[in-house]
Amino acid sequence: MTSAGKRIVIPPRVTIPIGPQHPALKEPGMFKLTVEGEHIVDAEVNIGYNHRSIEKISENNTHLQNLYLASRICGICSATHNGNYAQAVEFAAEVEIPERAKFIRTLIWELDRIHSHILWLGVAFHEVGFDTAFMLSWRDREIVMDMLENISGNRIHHDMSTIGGVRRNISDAQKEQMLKGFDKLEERVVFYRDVAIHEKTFWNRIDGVGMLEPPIAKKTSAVGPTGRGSGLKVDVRFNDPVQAYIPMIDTGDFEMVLSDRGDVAGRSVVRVLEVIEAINMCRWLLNNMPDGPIRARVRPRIQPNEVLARHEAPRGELIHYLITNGTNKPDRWKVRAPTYNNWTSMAHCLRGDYLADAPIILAAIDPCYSCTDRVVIVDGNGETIRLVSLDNLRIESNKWHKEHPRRE
Amino acid sequence: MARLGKIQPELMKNVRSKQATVRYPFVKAGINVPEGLRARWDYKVPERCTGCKICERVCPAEAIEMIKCRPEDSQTKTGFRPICHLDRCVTCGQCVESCPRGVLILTDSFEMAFLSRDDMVVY
Ligand code: SF4
Ligand code: SF4
Repeated sequence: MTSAGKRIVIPPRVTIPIGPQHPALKEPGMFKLTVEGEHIVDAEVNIGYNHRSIEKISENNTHLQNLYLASRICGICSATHNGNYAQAVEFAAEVEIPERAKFIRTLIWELDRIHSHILWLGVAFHEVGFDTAFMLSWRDREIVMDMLENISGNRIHHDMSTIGGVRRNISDAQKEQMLKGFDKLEERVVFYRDVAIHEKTFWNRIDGVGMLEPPIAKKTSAVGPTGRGSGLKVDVRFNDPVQAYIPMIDTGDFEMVLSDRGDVAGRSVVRVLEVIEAINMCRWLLNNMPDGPIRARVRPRIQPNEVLARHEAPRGELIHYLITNGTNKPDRWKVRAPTYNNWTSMAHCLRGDYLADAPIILAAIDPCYSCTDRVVIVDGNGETIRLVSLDNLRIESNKWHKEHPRRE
Repeated sequence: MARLGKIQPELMKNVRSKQATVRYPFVKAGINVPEGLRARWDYKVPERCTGCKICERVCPAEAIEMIKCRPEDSQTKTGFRPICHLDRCVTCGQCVESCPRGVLILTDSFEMAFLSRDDMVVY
């Protein structure tokens, strides 16, 4: 071909919708990526396909029932919601729970973090097409799943926390078994850390991808490993410790895991190192667990109060805001799940990267869509989506509840 | 020669290692069923039930229904007894914890798939 025949092709701008149902997504969400050739030039994130009205349901439930509802907000971090709700009610009732209960609750939180981060690591391996490591890491995640099942009686919904303490005790035999399990798990996690860092198949796909610079992370209030991967010192366990984190952090043996890389690799490294840190925390908790009761009695009617309970969930800071009114039901319960904060930075992370990297960038904040969804009303017949103001929503939901009374 | 990555030695090891999964519906050995697993609801000691309805009130999933004692049931004081709708039960164990007479338990039989909702009512 002569040079005169050569044409310069300027790629057109195309907007590609990904979702709400898409093979690359594990949950429904909608991403509109505007691409020029293979470069993403603009991104728009829409969520709200999985609204379940949990906060509204909770107003008709007793606090005890809400514990189980809270745990079902998210399948992966069920212990965090369950424990944080229990903690919020205890704050409102102004009761102190026994020391041993605090230790067991914290132990469950940390075990939850371990399994959640290994799960994420597997998903990250899968998103970049490295399925061998995905299968292997999920196989080894079973060690911690079995531990959780042994102590709580359920693999996913542990439901260990109750108002005033925890529901099950940990026996000495279980403790020994867990300590043995941690040795094996630590060896495996160290191996996955090396795979993540030294295996070129993985590293080359995440190095420099999905940049979130520290100032922007701060501006979009990124939390959890997304923020810590950009060097932000945000970790409620260290900044505002509760439960058994207080004596644990006071020992000075534990440090916040930070990375100043700011890319997907930074977030991966933070998560893998955090698993190792969490294993050490679990060992400390088991070895220093005091004896004593595991449950304090709390009256079902909680005095009028307004509290904010914070906890570092695997994905970041989780906030439960609770207003109690002297009955055994909450007046208002508001959950701010960590993914909600991290969404805001998503559009920035996607911009400027390749389309093929979109799945791993989306996965890198470890999104949990259903924790996040807020009210949109979708009318299938009129094909409309509308956002509703609080006052209208209250009128509509009161009407709905009048028409659908609770079974007596 | 190209250096081996981190994962290749692991792969070689796994060629000869035992299978990690169980061929579950056909083979049941090797499934981890811990002591204290919370699974199927059971009305264990009917004679002790007073029919106080506490279990119905605490259930977060509205899975427990109080029905009139049938002739073949052991008769309770109030004349009502609980039944559980397994399709709604979330196996939380709150009813077991709240029952003042220790009537209910959650057994470790975890196979709870049925073809009809009628089969999912536990008497
Ligand atoms: S099972 Fe227990 S809680 Fe339920 S009605 Fe009988 S005694 Fe009461
Ligand atoms: S286990 Fe939980 S959901 Fe099931 S019947 Fe008992 S209280 Fe209801």
